[in-house]
Amino acid sequence: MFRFLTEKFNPARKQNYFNRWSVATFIIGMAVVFPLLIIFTHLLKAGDHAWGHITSNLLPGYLANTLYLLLGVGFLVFLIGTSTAWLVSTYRFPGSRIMVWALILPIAIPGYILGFTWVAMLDYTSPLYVYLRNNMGVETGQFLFFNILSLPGAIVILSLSLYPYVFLIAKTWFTRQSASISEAGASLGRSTFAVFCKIVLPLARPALVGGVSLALMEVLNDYGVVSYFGVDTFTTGIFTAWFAFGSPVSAIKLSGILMFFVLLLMLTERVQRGNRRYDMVSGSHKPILKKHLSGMAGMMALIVTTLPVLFGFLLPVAMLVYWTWQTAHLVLDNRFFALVQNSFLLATISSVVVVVAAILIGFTIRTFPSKLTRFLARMATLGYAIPGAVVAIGILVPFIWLDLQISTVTSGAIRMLITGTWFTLIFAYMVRFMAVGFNNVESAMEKTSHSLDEASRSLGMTNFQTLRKIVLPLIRPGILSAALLVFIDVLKELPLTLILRPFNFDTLAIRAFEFASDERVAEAAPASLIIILIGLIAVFLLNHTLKNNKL
Amino acid sequence: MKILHADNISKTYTGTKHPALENFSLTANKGEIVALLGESGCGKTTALRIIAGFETADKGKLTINDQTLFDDNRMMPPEKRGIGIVFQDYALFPHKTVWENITFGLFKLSKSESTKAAEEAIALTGLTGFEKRYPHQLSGGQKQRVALARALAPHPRILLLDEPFSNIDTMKKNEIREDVRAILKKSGTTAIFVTHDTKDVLAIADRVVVMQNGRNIQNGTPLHVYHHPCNAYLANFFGKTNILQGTIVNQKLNTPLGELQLPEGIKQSADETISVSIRPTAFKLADADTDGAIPAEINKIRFMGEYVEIICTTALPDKPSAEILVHLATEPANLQKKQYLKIGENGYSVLNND
Repeated sequence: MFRFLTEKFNPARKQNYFNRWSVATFIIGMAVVFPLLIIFTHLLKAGDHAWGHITSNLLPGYLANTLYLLLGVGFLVFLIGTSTAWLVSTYRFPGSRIMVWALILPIAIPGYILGFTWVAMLDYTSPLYVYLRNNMGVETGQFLFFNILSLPGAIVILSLSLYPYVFLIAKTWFTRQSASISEAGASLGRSTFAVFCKIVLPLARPALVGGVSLALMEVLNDYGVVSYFGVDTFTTGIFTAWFAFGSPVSAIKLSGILMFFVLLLMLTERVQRGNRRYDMVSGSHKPILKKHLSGMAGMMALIVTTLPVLFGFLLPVAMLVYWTWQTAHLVLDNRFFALVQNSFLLATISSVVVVVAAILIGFTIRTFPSKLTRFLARMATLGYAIPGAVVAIGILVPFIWLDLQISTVTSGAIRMLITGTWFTLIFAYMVRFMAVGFNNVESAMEKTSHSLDEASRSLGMTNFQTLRKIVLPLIRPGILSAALLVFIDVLKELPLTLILRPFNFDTLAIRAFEFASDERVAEAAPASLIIILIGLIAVFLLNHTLKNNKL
Repeated sequence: MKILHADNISKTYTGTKHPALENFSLTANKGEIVALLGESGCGKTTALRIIAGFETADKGKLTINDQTLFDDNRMMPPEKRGIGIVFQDYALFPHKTVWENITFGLFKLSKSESTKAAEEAIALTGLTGFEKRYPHQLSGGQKQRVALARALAPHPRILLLDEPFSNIDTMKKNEIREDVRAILKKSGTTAIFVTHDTKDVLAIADRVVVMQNGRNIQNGTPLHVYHHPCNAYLANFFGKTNILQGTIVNQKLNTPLGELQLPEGIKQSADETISVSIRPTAFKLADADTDGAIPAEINKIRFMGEYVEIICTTALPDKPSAEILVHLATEPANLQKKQYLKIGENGYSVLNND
């Protein structure tokens, strides 16, 4: 990787390593890794008084809750994701065609919105509970049926919003599975279910574990659900340490431990995958001939696949629509429109910044492929694995220090130059969401032949002209989907925005969350619906690209 | 007049042990069509990419018209080299029309000059009427013409073609080969093309450079290389051949097929085994009393369509017998089990031992 530093090279070859493109990629890569480095370098610092309190009183709880969440959500998303994916990809039953895409819908609802909507739906004052209480005499305490504001409640809510990750991967895997595998199994006298358990599932394991890991990453990133449900984990701990205890050291140490969980998760995923990249059976890809399920069995399949969509999307969205209708006259004022404008502007700028950076990195690896540039690209996309709260702390600590220096140098004339500005926020989004933009841009670039670039160069165009005239027009769909996905990610982002936002600055996500936290869930509905709507557009786009790629 | 000069170019890709190119040298004269022939992995594509400027060589020197494109201190970027390329997949810009593709490299010219150059290229390649089409509306052969027109329009100092005929239907290959040669000759373009197909070489190249393991192993006209391949590998590469072992006795080549005239310039000490390649087409049927007639027993006759393949075992007195392959244009009537063969003039070549 660093061969160019040590070996004597033809000076001409250095062009391949040192040029405007690779330097720009280097800067972006370093900028993204920087918050993580801050966390790790500060990790060994001595803890303060608050840290002592946290380790003895709170840390065991954080650990236990995080582990329970990981286990619970991991189990549930696997169960829901694979079973529904298996049903829609192996069988045809009434409604199965709709369920193929309907099962993805819950991914459009951020966990915290799903969470507070369900809490309000089961609450003492919810229309359902009121009806049951007044007409049936059902009386089950503060909540209908069970106390949803609990660890199990958080697990269910997170699973309902995250199972589509597993569903999507499992569905594509099962659909791509050659029919001959199942037919070979059937010809050997095994039932469909036995074939599924003994052949299909083990073959799909690496992919499925990948999907579950993705969902668990989101669990570690989550702040909204756990804080609303009163389940103390590392993310809520970071908030407590930073805001309540005023102890940056503790926040950093908690971030470090959280990162340890993330790394452990990534490592487990990688180790289990190992070299076992099962290739699809080569040759003709005869698609699976879907078996027809009718009568009782078909009904059962429909119910099993409908439940996650009903609880994870239809009911909550219906409820939010109802509340929006009720509170629209209260909420939809100029302040609300200013809020929408604010959020959209922030998300637009962020997605433009991310996409431009992603194009830069993508084109650099394309034009100057080397271990160094690929390493830098990997650095630049690391942020997606880092929980938002950790990114925020990693950025805030050095920026506060920098502001302090500026303030000292200017004798207090300039304060808070960097922290609490849009710049900080957008930089943080870039760190966090670079991978989303990059992966889309890169896969679009991979689909265009390298010889197009070379043809353009041989016809007298420079690299920059080639990028502008050939590559960019050809990858436009990839750029658009990258921008839209970053847009929606920024729009619904919570923990990072809460920590880094400018004073008195609100986004749709924050407003919704704050309304909900003040037990004014009905008023949170309009903002929530906007986020869900934009999310739905992203889902349709995702579904569309998946179909086109025949993944 | 030499236009291109590549001198002792070497290149080893990062992460590989064996060099892709080793002391590779190549020249091209003005208006010449040079073929770089070899199997995949022989380094021919690497050579082409180094000339184009897409790869950087480790050492060596590359000049066009005495202008240095590459040496120890210099690496001219591809866009400055004035080298045109026709890619294997044609690399037509899918979002641009035929016209836009062809004018893409003419951006330095004025509008009228650019139009003139494009029209010339279109006329040359017979693409009149297709200007407004998009690449996906063209057939394979048409795409190739567009690629050719696009590369020729800016009047490159040299044109590189990467496997130009590999994506063409077998049925149309001959016709298209001739078209391409005609276009290149008409425009007086110096061209280097890379191929693994000896038929391409025989059909359109003025000169062929044969490559093996990153080295240039033979250089000459296609006919010369076909008839006098330098080693057994190359002899086989150009088609089926009989390779026989012999020794030099009294300035003659002593082989299982009798004593053959030693070609000029062969200096090999006596008692050393040398290999001789004889093409199956070099044999003719002969009478028993013909001078140098070789008695042979026919083992098998295969009708191959364009020719008849005969496998027979020779039986010269005092010589070891050898199984040889004979190709005849048509199956002669009343072919006997025992036949006499004779080798046509210059029908054999001595191979280097390697």
